[in-house]
Amino acid sequence: MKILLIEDEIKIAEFTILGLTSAGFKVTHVSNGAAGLAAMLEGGFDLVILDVMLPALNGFEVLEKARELGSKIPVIFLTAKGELPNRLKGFEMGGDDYISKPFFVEELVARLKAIKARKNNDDPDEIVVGEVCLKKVSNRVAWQGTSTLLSQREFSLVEFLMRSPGHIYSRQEILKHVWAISFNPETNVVDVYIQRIRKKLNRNQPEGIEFPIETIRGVGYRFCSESKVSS
Amino acid sequence: MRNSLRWKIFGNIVLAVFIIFMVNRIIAQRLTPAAVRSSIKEYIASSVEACKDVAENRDRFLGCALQNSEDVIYGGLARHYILCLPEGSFSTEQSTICNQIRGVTSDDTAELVSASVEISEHKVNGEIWFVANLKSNPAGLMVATRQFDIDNYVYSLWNLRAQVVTFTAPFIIICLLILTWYCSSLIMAPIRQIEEALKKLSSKNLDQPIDIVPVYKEFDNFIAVFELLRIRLNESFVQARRFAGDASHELKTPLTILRGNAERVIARLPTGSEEQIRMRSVADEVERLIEITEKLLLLSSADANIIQHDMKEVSISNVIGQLVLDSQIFQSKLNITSELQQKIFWNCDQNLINQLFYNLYTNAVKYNIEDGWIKIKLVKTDHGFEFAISNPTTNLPDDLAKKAFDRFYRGDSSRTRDIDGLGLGLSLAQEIARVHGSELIMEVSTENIVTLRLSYPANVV
Repeated sequence: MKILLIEDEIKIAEFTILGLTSAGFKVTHVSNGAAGLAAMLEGGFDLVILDVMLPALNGFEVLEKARELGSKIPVIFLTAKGELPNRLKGFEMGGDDYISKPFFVEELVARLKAIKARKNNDDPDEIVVGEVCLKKVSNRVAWQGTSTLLSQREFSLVEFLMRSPGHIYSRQEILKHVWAISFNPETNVVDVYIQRIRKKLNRNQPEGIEFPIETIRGVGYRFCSESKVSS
Repeated sequence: MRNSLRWKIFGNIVLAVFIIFMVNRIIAQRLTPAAVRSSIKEYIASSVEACKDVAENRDRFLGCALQNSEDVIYGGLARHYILCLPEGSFSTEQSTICNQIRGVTSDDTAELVSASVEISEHKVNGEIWFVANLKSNPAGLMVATRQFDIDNYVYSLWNLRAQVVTFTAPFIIICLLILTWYCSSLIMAPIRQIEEALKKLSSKNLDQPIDIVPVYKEFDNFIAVFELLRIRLNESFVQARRFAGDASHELKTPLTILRGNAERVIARLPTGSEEQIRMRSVADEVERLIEITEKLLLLSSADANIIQHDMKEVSISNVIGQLVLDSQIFQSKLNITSELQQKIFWNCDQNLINQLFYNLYTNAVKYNIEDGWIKIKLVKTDHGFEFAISNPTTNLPDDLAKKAFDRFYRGDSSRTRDIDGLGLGLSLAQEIARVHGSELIMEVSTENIVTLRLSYPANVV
């Protein structure tokens, strides 16, 4: 999947490119609006990540011109202004999604994948990573031939980790995304939930086969794309 | 006790009136006897002039004199006249006086007071008599009045005047009082106007012009100066506000870069290595900075009255229900109980009120006692609802309820060192409550129980 990144802040572009590349995307970076518009019209990209605050032409203007000239390429807006009017404006202009700074590259990757899935007409209610398949409607996890029902929070947690396989999330990040709380409530609730999930999923498995959520001591948790077989 | 302007004005007016009375009295008593005497002489002369034709009959003469002087203040003096005629007087006593006066020559030359009457002063037996006679016939008709009687009469007039003043004093004072009240109300009216305008003025509506047309044009300048003050205040306020907002905005880009790179590094470092753990804690601190920045941005937009919100009908029973469920898992050591009425809806921004309730909850956790409890209550009221969250605490500063909503306030500083937080939560919660037309207050009981109470709609004071 080829991505066009239009972002004037070189350092943001740098780590974004790094993150996207390691997630398997091919990224072309352009650092101003005019060049971005030209590249968009030239074609050859599957998706555009567009910063709003750009020199020469701002992001909204770039999209407006591109749409006028017939480009239908999906666009994700990227901006420091996370407030509502901008967000609405972004959608009005024909943007497909909107992500506000400071953002996680992993979140961006997840959004890209969602748009890709929509485009490929994949079942949007299913997330498949390695041998694990999440079924959104039923809150079930299919793994190793068994299907297990999870509670809403458990399911959200697994889903969150699975969106960026291999990435290590801290407890704080997990709390923020899964419980939607951006403070430290001095709790070990994440650990409790991870334990529960493991218990539920490993219950019917033979000894030694474990659900691929890995604890990185002192750092956090990550979802491994392949099931770990403990020796 | 502090002075009241009205009483002060009133006191001064009363004092002024008293002084005027006294000065008037002193001037009248000390400086006017000569004038009084000459006007008395004129009066005597005029009554003699008017009644000289009926002088043969004493009764008729006196009657005439009294009648002639009905409107004159000295009218009563006619009773003290002694009428001396060449053929003798009315009584022997008076005849004696008449003869004595005739026997004594005047000290000074007679003074012509009216057209045909002259008055001279005679000293008889140590007493001074004012004697009026016709110039054409000095030996004929003579009207004598003793100075003692004149003085007595004048004195009684003074007394009468003093009496009148005494009787009318209360009435005058009441009049003055009413006058003072009326005048001060007149003066106070524009001041009250400004007072009303000032009362409405807060940091939230500083940008709106003060819409007063003063009752009196004399106050135009005053209002203009006041308006200028508001403009200046607003300018510096906008500046300060913009600064916080701009600073937060500017911080976002470097923070994004910092976090993005930290996350990349964490992913690349050997799993579980010490470097990875250290990097994780760096990333967590960056996360904290981002959180502070976001809160400051939200607070500064609250100050600028430009909080963005997306109002929807939300079941707060569910929101709080979820909070209670979460909290029971979050805090296994705290005994969390709740009493929630179902099906309470609120037209609010889901995102903001989540922050509001979680902030209140976190506050209750952070400042709880060991193995303490939290009570959460949600009840319907007549027009809305009331939410309350209580927890026991220790080391309560006396001014907690006042200062709790201050930014960066974190309670007793000796205790809060080990409490993680910024001291922005409650002030943010209050701003969010305000945006939603509700009111957040803190109550502290004597048993060291802190209750945060959110009521919607806000109690209009």
